[in-house]
Amino acid sequence: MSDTGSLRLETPRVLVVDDGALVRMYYRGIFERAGFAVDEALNGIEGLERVLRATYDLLVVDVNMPKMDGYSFLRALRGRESPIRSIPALMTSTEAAEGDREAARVAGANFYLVKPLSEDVLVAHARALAGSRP
Amino acid sequence: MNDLLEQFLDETRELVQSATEDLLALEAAPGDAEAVNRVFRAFHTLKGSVGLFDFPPWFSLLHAAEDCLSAARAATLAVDSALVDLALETLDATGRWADAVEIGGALPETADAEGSALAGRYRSLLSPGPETRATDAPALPVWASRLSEPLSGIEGRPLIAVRYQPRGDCFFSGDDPLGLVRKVPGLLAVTVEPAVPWSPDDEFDAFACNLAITLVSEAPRAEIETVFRLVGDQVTVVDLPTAIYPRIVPSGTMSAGAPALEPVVAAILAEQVRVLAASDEADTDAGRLEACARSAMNALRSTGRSSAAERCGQALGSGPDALRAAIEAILSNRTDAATPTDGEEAYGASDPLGGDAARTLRVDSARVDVLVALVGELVVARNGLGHLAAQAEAGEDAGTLARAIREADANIGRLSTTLHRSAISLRLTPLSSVFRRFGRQVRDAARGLGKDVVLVVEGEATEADKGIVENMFEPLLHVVRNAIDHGLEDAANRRQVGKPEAGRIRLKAEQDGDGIVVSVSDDGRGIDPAFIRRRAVERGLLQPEPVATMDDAAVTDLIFAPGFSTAESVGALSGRGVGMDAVRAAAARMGGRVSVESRVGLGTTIRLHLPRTIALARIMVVGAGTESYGIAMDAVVEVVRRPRTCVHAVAGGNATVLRGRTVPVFRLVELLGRGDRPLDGDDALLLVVRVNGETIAVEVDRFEARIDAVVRPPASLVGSVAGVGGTTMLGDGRVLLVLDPAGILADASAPAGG
Repeated sequence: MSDTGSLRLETPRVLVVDDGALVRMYYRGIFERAGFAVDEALNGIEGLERVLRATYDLLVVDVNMPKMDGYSFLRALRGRESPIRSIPALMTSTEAAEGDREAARVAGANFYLVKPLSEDVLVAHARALAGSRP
Repeated sequence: MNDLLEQFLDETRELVQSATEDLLALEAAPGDAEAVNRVFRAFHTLKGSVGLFDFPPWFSLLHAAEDCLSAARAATLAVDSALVDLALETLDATGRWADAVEIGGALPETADAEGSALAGRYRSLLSPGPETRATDAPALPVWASRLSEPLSGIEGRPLIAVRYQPRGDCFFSGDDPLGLVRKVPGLLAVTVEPAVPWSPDDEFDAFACNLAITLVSEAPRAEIETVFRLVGDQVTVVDLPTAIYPRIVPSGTMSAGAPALEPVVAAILAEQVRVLAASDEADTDAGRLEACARSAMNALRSTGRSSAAERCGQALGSGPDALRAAIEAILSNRTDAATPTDGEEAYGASDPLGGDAARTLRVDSARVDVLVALVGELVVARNGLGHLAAQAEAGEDAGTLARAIREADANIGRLSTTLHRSAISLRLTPLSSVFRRFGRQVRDAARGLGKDVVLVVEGEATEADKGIVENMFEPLLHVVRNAIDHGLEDAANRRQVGKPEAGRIRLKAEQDGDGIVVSVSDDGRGIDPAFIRRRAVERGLLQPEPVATMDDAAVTDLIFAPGFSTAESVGALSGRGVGMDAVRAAAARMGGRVSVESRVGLGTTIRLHLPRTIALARIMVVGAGTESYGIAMDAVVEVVRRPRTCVHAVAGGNATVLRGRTVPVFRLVELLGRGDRPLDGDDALLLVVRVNGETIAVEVDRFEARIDAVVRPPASLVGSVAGVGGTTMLGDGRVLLVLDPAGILADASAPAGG
């Protein structure tokens, strides 16, 4: 068995994949306050490049992005023959419909939060998914 | 968080700008799929950003806009002028709201009504015809919108909110308000408040009901209405649209909202079961399975339940069904293993709207890099000075030391000059930010006048100081409106003279030496010098004879004269009581000037010649006679007051002794050819000036002020007067002549040397 699911005691590392500069800035502030190390990617393609270069404990992925959207990004990630395919992913979207949630599950997202989201909700879910103690 | 808001406002304005351009482009070419896509993206980003703050009407409006644009992008909705106009209006509102937020931290009061009206129009675009229930639905009552906050945990389900305010005498008709509430199926939340503030004790009526009950249920609306059927007149039932989102609440003030970890863990576990069930692609199954296991295990371990996590880990090896079963088993008896964990933590205050929003400057990071590198070099150079000091202490030979010091001085001098230049370049910003605003302006102005106008923009990458760029919009706008209003003929006239019906306005920027030239050209009727001559005389600006002898170019320049307006009629657009003289004044304030070139029948070009950088000079304002003059502080060595008895008449002039040196003294009034007044006062006020290694003293009548100002090079006529270095405009609008000490010296040394 791999190290899948081990509790990380070092700083958890999150990759925010979102095309909105402001949204990324907002997430960065929240995650840094919550004790995460934060990296950013502007779309799925950049997200994949990042994931291949560094180790992450959590991906926070937007749905609608230019070049490569969140679904394609997750599908590409989950389909890889490498431990990176197991990184938990939190998908965020402004769409609250069940169909959108289901699409996220099919793509391989582990949780779905509707934007706008409050800091506390985001941090609580991120901590649980990344396995860091509050 | 202030940074975030600042960034938000910046970004919003940029997006409004770019989306406006794309919409205008779309209007011209409705089939441009790339432009539709860009507009969609701009709205999408705007919506996402607005969603970070608590501006529900703004968010709902942008959401509605995005829905329409998404349909337009998918080509299920036509891009017509209705959609373009609506989108432009939305961008207008967005711009205004951004301003309101910047100033007051909140949306204007009208935002709610305006936002829902616009959103309604979007919805009717999507579903024309009678099916417009959503459009007709009344805006959500305030009490219902307040529910969004406590509902942050339960998103996505259709919910019903009820406001029940029993009548004051309800107890006497046998009503049992709380009993009714207990019968509500699917109850999720209840609040009970006094309907009006409780009365003082002596007036308190124990038999009157003063309750306002708000509740939220997930049961169908009909079931809820059944419960309240007997008190229907006291109840408001509202569908909570999914558009109500939990808002961002500053953590510091959040009382009950912070979710404990336990429900979060349960929600994550339940979601993994659904994700495992949603699989449909074999090649991603392994990744999905591992990610689900890892998520579930992380969630469990984060609340200290390693044995449950271990069970998931074991199930992982046996495939998705085993993992699902394991997670479901943990979920079903989760209460047994519950270890209460306090998930609350102070995340630090985060007020997205607090504080002042200082103006920000966006700088190309390459420029900052240069600056950082230079500062680094400067630090190295400074360290060299310490080394020199050590050498001096060690008794190094004076000649060697002097050479080393001179080298260090040259080095630091070079660095500081470069540093100065780099620092100034930080403020350089491309004119595109101004030019981009004109697409919309030209369109609106042309529409208002019923003219067809094509705007051509050139050289928008030209850069100038941020202050100049920001201040050029108003004067340029005036010139552009003038060109559309007065310069361009109407379509019929244009046809007659064989021009294309659509008028052409060209906005162009280019670098010109140290400055920039921004020009507005039209292909309209041009300015007729004969008309200007006539008008100038009519207005009493000039006498008939000099006007007749002036050449056409000088006559055309008269349009910039105060009180001159060439408008035949006061146009709705440009006739706002300011003429081209206001444009000239604006250019002058920026340290620039205006010029005009026109050919009858072919068009007019108005040029704003502006400095590229604002080089502020420190000026000393001195009085000579009744006038004030400026002298650049650079040249002033010192300012002294000497008893007049110490100023001696020598051959051909006056002199005084300063620090053991004889210094020639000149009276400023005499230098300027006005020195026929007798000397007064016991003391002479001397400005000691050094130019080209020579020192002179200039006697002035008063020291008035020290100011920082933009010095314009002298205009052609004034420039021919020796000793005038330029002019600057004082705060009160007066023009101050700035004297050139070198010129004064050249002028003065002849008599002094004699």
